[in-house]
Amino acid sequence: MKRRAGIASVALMAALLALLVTALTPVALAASPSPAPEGTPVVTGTIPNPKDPKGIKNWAGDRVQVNFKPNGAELDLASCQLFIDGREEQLAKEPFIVPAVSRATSTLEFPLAAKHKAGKYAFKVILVTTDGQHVEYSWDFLSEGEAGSGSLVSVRVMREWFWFIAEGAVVTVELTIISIAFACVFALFGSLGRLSKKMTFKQAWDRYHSWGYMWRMVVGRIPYWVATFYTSLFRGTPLLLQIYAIYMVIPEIIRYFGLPESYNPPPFWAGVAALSLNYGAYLTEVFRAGIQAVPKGQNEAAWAIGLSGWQTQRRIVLPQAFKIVIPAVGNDFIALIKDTSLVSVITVEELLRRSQLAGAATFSFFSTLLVAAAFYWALTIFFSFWQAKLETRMARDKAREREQEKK
Amino acid sequence: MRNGKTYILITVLLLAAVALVGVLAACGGDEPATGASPGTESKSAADIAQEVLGHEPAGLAAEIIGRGTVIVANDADYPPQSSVDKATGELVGFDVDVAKRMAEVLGLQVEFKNPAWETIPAGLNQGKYDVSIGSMTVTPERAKALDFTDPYYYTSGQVFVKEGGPQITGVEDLAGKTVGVGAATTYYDFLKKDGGAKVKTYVTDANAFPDLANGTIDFVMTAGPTGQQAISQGQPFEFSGPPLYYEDLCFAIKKGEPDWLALLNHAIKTMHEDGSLTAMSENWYNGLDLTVKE
Repeated sequence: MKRRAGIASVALMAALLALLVTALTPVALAASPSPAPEGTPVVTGTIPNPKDPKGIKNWAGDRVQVNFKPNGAELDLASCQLFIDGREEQLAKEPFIVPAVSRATSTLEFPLAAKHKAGKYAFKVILVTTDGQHVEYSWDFLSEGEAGSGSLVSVRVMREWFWFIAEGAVVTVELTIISIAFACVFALFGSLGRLSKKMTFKQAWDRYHSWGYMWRMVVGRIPYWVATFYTSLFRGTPLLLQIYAIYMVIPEIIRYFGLPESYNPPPFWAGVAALSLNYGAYLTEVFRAGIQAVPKGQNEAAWAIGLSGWQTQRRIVLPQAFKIVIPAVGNDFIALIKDTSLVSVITVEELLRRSQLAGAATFSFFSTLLVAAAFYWALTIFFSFWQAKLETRMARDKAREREQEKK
Repeated sequence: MRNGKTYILITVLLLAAVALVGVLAACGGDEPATGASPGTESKSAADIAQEVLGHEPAGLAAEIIGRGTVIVANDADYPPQSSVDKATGELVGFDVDVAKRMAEVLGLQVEFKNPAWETIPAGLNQGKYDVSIGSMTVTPERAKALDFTDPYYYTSGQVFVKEGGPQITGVEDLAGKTVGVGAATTYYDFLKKDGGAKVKTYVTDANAFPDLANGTIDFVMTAGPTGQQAISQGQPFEFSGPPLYYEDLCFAIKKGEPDWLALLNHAIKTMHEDGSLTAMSENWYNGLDLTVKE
């Protein structure tokens, strides 16, 4: 047993040693390309490009481009040849040099007479210089999916970028839910503020003729003024402007007061702030209407049994108002899902921004926008369904009353 | 005896396996090894800085070295310089590789931030990012707000047209035509200054191409490689005339940080000299070497 372990450990040591040696052996550096002799062009790359690091496997199929370092050579364009799968290719016209993107590299284009479909091809070009030099270069290319994006919608792009865009949908849902929660809080206080005005100053003066009472009334009027200013400002300016303002102005203010930059709002939270303030302003009016829709008799009854003002609100009025405003809040919730797309302008990677990024990477904007549209639609359908469920559930008492009336 | 044989066999097999792994590693190492400059990797960032500057780094340079990570700002809407990889959600592209190699030369880790292009200068000055590696051209306007390194590559200001459209011979031919450009780009400044063209701006250059395809605009002016990328993906565009000009593209940093600027210039010089910039350019631009000045 002992001997076994000994041999095993020797074997292990040997293995480790071998590993160490191989690890330390300097990796054979690819011999730096020896400068080609003057007058011999060197091919550095092609389109279609089998080595494309982005792995884009499509080829327009109507042209082949060869990038090369001329090394002082001049090409005899008419003699340059292109072979595809071993056959010399029919060209639409003579190969030509396209305007250079680079000062060091030239591009030779072969316009093909016929458009090639997706598939596997073996390419070979022969570059011929004016002093009779021949340079051969071959490569293979497997073109997948539709060659070129002549088609309006690319199913391949949609499939490949689906999950990337789906991650944006998660951010959209987060934005929506967090914003609506804050918006409801703003709206609750906003609506109570808006409803805190019971009578005009003139009415009060006519009734009491007391300066002390008037002064207390001015103080008591502040919530109303604040709430009115808030709804007026946020309903009176565009949401997009509010998003930009919160994202860009707060850092300026922070800088002005000499606070550290770590206080700057991250884009996501700047977006949440703008969305919840804006929707809070709209919901303020919705809540106000909801509270006012609760019959006055409920207030009077609560007062009669000796509930305080706050108790009346919390136990009697708000629960009934809640039921009344559900359809309107649900409506705003659906609208908010779509308005979160505006936050894409401050680099929050939600659905729309993700689909734009995907579009920029593939130049197939229609495909990626379609995916985003599908997500938005699915989200709104999903949430409207649950809103309907909630409404039915909240209307149980009405249903019960109807039942009883029938009996 | 039989036991002994078994162990010898196991040893031999293990050695063979290890050797195989080693060979594979060596083969795999071939490509990224291009331009690896031996010696820099083992040194710490502080040593490298000391060696390059000849004194202790100060200011932002000291802060970055202390942190060990350089924060790079980069516009992800700008392929093939940088765009998002669908599989991993990470940034890929020429600028991204340059940033990684720069960090390697300076012995630092790299972290990418991906803000909107127009906000990068403000972010650099607010200290949100240490350096912008986003194919930025030096303009007098920008030079007032930022410091620029030596150029790391050069691109053309190139006009693109829908396939079969007119070939221009100079900026005069754009007079009266609608040309799409990215907002806050040098192409915008150029067209505003030099021609009677009607300029239409987009958030990023890539967004101008769908409008060109739809015929809403007559031309798009952008960097040669950007348009070439669109064409190579089968978009129905072509070059219109020769490049209108070439421009130097540089890293940009906050103003007044000489040590950090010197370190970045050292990294750029190293990358030019060891051929890694050329290799990265040929890799990302279908074999085009954009890093040569003349």
